[in-house]
Amino acid sequence: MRIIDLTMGWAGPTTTRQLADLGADVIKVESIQYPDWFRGTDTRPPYHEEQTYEKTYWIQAMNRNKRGITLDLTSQDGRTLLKRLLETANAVIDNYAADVLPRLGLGVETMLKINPKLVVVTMPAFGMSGPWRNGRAYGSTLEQASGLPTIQGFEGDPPSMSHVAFGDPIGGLNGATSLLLGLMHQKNTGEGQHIDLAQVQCLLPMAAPAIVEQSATGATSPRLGNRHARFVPQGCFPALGEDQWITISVRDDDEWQALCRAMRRPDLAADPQLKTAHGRRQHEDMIEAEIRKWTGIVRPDSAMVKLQAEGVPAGIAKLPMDLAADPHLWSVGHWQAVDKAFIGPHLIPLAAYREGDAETPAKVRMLAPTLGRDNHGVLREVLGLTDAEIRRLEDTEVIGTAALPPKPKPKRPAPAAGA
Amino acid sequence: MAAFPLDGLRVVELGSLDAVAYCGKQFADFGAEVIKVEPPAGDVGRTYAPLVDTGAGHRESAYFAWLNTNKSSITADLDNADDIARIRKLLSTADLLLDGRHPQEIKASPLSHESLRETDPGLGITAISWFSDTGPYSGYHPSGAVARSLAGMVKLIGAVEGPPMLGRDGQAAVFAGLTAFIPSLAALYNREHGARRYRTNVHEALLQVTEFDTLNALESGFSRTRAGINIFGRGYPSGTWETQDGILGVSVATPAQWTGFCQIIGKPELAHEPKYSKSLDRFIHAAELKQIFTPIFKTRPAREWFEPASNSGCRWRSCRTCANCWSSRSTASAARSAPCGSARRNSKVRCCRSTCCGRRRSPTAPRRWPEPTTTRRSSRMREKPRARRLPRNCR
Repeated sequence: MRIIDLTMGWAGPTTTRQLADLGADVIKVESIQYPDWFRGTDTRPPYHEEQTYEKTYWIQAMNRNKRGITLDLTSQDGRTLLKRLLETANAVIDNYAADVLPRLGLGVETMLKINPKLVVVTMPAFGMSGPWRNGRAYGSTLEQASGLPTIQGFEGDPPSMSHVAFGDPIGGLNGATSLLLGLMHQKNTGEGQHIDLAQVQCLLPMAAPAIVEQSATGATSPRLGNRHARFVPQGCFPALGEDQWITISVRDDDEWQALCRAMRRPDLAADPQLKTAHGRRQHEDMIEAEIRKWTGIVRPDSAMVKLQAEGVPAGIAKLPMDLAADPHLWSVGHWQAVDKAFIGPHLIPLAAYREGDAETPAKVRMLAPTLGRDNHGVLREVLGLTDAEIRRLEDTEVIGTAALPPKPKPKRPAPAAGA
Repeated sequence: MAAFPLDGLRVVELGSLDAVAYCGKQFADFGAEVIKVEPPAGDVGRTYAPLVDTGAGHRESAYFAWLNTNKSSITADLDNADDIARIRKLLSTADLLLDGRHPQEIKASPLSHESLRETDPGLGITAISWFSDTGPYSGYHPSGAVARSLAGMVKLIGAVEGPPMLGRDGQAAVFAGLTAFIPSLAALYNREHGARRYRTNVHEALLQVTEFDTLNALESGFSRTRAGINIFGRGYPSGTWETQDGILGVSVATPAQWTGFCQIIGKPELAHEPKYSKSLDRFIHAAELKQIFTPIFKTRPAREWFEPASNSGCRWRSCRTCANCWSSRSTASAARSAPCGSARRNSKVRCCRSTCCGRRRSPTAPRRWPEPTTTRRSSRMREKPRARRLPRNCR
């Protein structure tokens, strides 16, 4: 299984990462003129001098288990080599804006003519057709356009977003899903096809509870802030320390009793008005104030452990950085410590699943490629080029392993969606 | 009828977990036969608001219906020996078990994975739990908000003074459902080499969101702090803005976007102001910039801001509420069909666009026992090669 990966940033590279993790031969195509922008968006010094484009953590994680080559697709030679690679591939995927590859003469129709069995996945922000087809977007734009921010957060606040680039990780998962469905159809029928994934629509299922409610009842309920439609109480409460928080959800009446035990509040436990969720809903402000009194004098770790021991869902609101030192994540093998040229020792996260009886996810088989790392291997083994031909490509800067400083203003292919 | 990519597969769902239901929905929406096994009283998800009439005086959850379109449903008491035997028989005809039971329940059950693999090595199994089945959190009591908090998705979101924002439920199921779907389908693609078993969990699936932030913090050597609603510590302006008639989403990152943005809002001089030059500078001066932008955005309707912006390469959109998402041209078809569960189907793989919707509705009430109607899994796949091509206009 070979996949030609013309993606950059986050959404596209995590699409192909899913398949690379599962054993596919993913060939990531960059160019020394325009490296993946997750290698750094600021190409001013010392980007080239210090080769900082080999030193970002993001590029390592998003591209694990892939091979990497460089091809200047604005050159005839580069395009010809890409076309020859497509002849050998099961699938090709890009996340450029809708107009970029067609302008280079590498549109979907052309690709399917080269190899009618190809699964061609495009994933621009708003699809390849429709009035917004040329719209650019980041992952944040996609979340804004999905309506998701309008159904969360606190009443009175502006529509509240979930993440700096929420569209990207969900776009990556949907991209991989699309790719696999296309490959399944290819396997069943021998046919290729074009799958157009409008990334904005990948977020709609996350707004589904409200979309479904809107369609069933004609309106959506007011935003609940940190409260929950069924769990009373639910909230994120301040714990002892600076900016420390503990999330607590009480899913049923037994868990309410357990929460009262943990807080040593038999008075609340015995209060008949608070025995049911409906009753607690009437006194939610008071209950939350009582919880804060207790959480405010307890370290978040102690609060979580005690609540969980009593049977109450509770979790520390962890900083993303805390996850690198989370004992649970180390014990389940989420992190792999690796060492690599340029960047040195660092951590990369592994897949979220385990196979068979394995206690940890599969280790990385191949670290993310440095720029053009696999030029020789791929061009020689896959395309049968001679050393002399490869040298000529290097001399003419069609391929290479060091990024070139920008020449005066060529047009840069802009990634469509998201990071 | 057009061939679906997963025609001929049979998938059985056990356990009440939205992530399993969403994973099963992917199989069902793309052609697999998905059979949901519910307890005798029905899945508890059927009782969750909002409820809609399902006929004969019954009211059931609309969200449950959306999660379970195109599936069929049976009931079984997994403490009853006869029922267990029948589920085992059903599984012997299935290609894949999607298991949402608690890991401890699975281990203790006569339908443990160990036992199923022993008697039925051809059955693929994918289990989804809230937390990994090993490690300190394995026995933790979950909720969506708790899983998101421990996955690092909460603390940096929301007002500076707190509390951090917990977000809306429904997201974890999508992340975990898709995370499970991918290796499950890959194993079925490669079934000639034998069935595979995978275990995944909601908590780690969500780390696919926060890995971006974790790696950023590890690289820079420090963690940013919570900077405010819709402010994420990088570029500015970002987030949602009130206009004359609705909300506008804006993301400005590159120097070119910043210049274009300043022109559109009629303040070209800001682009030349050194203290706002870089993304980080604007982030540091976010409060004073907000003072400048807020009244300007309110002077025109969202659409009037949107048109010039889309021509200048700025990332911004009118940020639609669910109500106007409903009527907006670009997503109307997806939103309108949401109740029958096709929001996603309509929107995703275009080859299925016109044919998937409404193929089969969500099962309204669990039935008792269907006799498995077809022969064993692998033979079905082999005997029914798809030779039909999808109509051109469906691609």
